[in-house]
Amino acid sequence: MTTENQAGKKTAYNVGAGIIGALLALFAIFGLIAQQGAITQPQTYKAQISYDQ
Amino acid sequence: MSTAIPARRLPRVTPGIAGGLTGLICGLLALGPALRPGYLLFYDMVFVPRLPLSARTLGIDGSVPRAVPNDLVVALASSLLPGWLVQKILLLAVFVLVGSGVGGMLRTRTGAVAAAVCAAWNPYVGERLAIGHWGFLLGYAVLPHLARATAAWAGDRRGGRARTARWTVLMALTGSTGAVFGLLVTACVLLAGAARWGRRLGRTAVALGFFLLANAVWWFPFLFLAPRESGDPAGVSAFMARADTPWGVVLSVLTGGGIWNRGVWFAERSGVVTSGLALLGVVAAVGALARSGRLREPLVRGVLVAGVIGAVLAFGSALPGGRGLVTWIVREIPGGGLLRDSQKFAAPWMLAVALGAGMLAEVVRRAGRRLQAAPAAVALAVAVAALWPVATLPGLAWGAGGKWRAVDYPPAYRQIAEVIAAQPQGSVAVFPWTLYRRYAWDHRVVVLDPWQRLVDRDVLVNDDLPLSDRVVRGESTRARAVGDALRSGDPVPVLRREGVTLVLVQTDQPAQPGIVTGLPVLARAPGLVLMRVPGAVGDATPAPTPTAWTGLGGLALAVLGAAGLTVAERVRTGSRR
Repeated sequence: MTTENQAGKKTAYNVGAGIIGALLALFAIFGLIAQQGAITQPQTYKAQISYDQ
Repeated sequence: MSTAIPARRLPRVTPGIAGGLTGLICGLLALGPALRPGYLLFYDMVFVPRLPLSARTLGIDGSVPRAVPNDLVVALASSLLPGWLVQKILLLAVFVLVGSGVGGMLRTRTGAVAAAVCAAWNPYVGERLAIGHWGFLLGYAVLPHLARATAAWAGDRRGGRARTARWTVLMALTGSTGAVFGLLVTACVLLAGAARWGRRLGRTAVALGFFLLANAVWWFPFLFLAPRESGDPAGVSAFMARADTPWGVVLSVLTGGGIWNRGVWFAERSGVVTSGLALLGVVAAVGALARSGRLREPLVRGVLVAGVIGAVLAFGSALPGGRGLVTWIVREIPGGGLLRDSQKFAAPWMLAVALGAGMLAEVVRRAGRRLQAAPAAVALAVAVAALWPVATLPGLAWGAGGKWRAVDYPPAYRQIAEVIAAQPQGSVAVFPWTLYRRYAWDHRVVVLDPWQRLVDRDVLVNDDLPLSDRVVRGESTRARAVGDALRSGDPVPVLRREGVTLVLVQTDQPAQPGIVTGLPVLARAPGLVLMRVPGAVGDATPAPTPTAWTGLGGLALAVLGAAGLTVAERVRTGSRR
């Protein structure tokens, strides 16, 4: 029973590592695309320059 | 007959070295094209070819010592190296120092690498870098080294006291914010020690005394030389932490973000999933820290307590009642203005999270080995445990996706700076009358006016901080007088009274809200016009009094004290051998 339990945990570890690794890589790529999309072009001329622009 | 070649022993890669190398890799990846020759000029990040060693950089000119003594360090370094190189070295040092410091807190190289990744690649580092607060970041990077040195002292380990003194001095050189982080962590680690309470309190008092001595370089001019005006309480609301994730202010700060300026937020953090994963990573890291069994160690316990206090300070002003309390502190207590940009106090919290992230990677690795999982699965699981900070903040990579670009000052700047240097003594007032600029040659990003650093004389600028929805009043009474005169229509008599002999107008900037025209032109260059104020004489700013040197004297004494303790420790160690 203990050996079966151990084997189950081992399988869960192997599979879990694969799935979580793949998901994290996927989210990183999505994040990168989101950040690239948010890089704005130089803003238009404004009379007042604000620190939080 | 063969001759045996003696095997050369390679230096052992300690967790500290592994952490430092990881930090270096993170720094190279994060800065990327920003490391090209040239200056990174955005928001408060202003470096110049050669920062003069002036009364202002020494903190003895009577102005608010905002960049003291970190500008002093830059001035000394840029007398040896070009300013752009000093900037790049300091920025890379942030990554290497924080990586090696936090890595050295872990017991394995795996843990050290994971901890270094988390410490060097997180929203705190990204947002503070994007706003140009390199001094804060150097303070953050020195923090783990100071914590480890203090723990060595608390544990009566050899050299601990001298190491603490050395890192306290180095921390003081990063400026007031880093020094406050350092004091918090030092006190927490010392008080978490195993010695009798009397001894712990005694050592904390000694550390506080040494802290005051080393940091006199900024607190003395702030309290006794600068204008005695409390900070504008409007700054508390303007600069309090804000939610840069959908999870609210508190959780945004706990993941290392939440800076007030939305212009430097990372887009991916606005998504529920990516920011949720970052939150999950932080929870797992703190959980690993809490269950690690290392909370008995003064270092780990002290860092965690300091982290919790730092986090509460960081989001406190955004909570009900918190804003009122911080406003009262800013208005009534000298130096209370340090609490205005509250999110910066998340630095010790991120140190605790990084420590936990290292422990999390160690737990994942141990579990995989115990279960005899496939080596590839163990490697992948450890990579996930170590790289979640990168995966949840990919936008930091390669100079924030190419946003941080190195530029050169146009030749006109050097030309006008040389003309100013050749003029008789007197202050220079820089117009248009605003603190921030946008230059076409700097990709029109918002940047602090660089002229205070470009010339070796008193430069008068408007120190009011313009925000989209309000203006946070500055502290300079001279600047306020000029601003009032501009609004009334004729600033020249006030400029004369304030000892302003030269007026520099940047003609490539928006002309509002104030500009001076009609004075005799001394020099012209593309984008710049230098004018003389007729009838203005000398320098209205009095020469620094002997008292003004007190703060610098304190720092010098602290340097001597740290050196003396180091020598004494070495002599004692030598005599034991």
